Amino acid sequence: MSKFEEIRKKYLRETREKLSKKDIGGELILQSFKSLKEVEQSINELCTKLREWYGYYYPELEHENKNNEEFVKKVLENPKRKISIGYELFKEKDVKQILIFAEQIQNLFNYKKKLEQYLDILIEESCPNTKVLAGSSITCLMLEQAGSLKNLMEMPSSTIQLLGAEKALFRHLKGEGKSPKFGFLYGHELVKRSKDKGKIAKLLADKISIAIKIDYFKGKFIGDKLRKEIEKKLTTNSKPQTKNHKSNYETYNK
Amino acid sequence: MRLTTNNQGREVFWDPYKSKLAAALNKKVNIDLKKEDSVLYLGASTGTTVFHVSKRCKEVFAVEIAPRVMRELVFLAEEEKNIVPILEDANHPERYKDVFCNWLFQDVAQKNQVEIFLKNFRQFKPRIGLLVIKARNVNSIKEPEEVFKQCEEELKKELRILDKKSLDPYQKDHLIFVVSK
Repeated sequence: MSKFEEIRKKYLRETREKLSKKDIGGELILQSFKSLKEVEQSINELCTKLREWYGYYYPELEHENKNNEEFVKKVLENPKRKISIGYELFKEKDVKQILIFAEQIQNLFNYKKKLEQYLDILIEESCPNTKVLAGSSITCLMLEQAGSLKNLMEMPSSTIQLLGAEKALFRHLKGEGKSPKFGFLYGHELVKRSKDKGKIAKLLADKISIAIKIDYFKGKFIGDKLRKEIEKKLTTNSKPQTKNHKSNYETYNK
Repeated sequence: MRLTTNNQGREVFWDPYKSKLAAALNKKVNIDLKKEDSVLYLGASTGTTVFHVSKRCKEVFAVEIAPRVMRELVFLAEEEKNIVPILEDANHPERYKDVFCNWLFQDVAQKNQVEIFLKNFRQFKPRIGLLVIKARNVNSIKEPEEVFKQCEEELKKELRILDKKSLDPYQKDHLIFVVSK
């Protein structure tokens, strides 16, 4: 065996070993999240098609049910039409085709629910602290934007605060428009509820950046504590300013 | 138009819009690749260019750091008997010091492209070296011409520049250097 052959064999073996032992990071979460998004989108598209199709047969049912999932359920029950402006010419075999189509959509709905549960479990396993703070959907969004768990871990809290607001941020850096205060965090319940959204987004991002670092290095669970800290700060800050000032002054004097 | 015949006897088109080396060939750069050369290829990616190079030389050592694209390179290397996949950082040539080469090609998307190139050149002492620079990777705010000038000065300190050419209509803001000792 020549020298080259030896080297080739060695490196092929090494590379294969390295590849199979590589840490997968947030890849499982990312992949399942991406397919979940795709499934949601296709459900929506298929539902509009079904509505259009079913509308020729029994438009009243389609008109009454605005929610897609309920609508598909109703279609599958296949109610007898009462007084309808739908086409009279529909035969049994035509209705049957619509029902088969609806069944496929129903399957997709079921699959979506299973995928959501699986994703929830995955996040609970790999980043429990962040899940308590940000919720699973925002965690997924941030992870997707960052690219991997490691990239997200390396980000400072100011970057985390503006994840998902890149367009507005770069517009601002060019000199047009206001600076954004939050990206994906806008969907968070605490941010939604409050009046001073920017401040709370800043607070949240701060704690999330701590939580994600703990999660990456597999540390202890302190998500509850971090969340309590945020809520404590919120209650003290949300009081009217004069009162707040007074109480602070009193505690200071003691 | 350049074609390469693969193992199944089918001809594969070497696309200059995808491969920087093909773009260089189309711009009439003398790459001086001989049939008996052993090649060190830094930044191999999925191995599109590596495949074409491997058919025109004796052996290729393909270095790549990203595991995702390495997967495809490994499959290619199992088919082609003269490709060696190396999952390493090109920043540290001492980690793959047992390879040998006399023709070096580098196309990595890093800020310190020139530094990496010089490190590898010192370590393996090839006959000739080709360096593709993407200006946007070195500095995204500066004008490409300024970046290229800066890179050229860095290279000139140690090496002799035989040729340089921009890869314009095929690749935007790219420049190829052909250097030797």
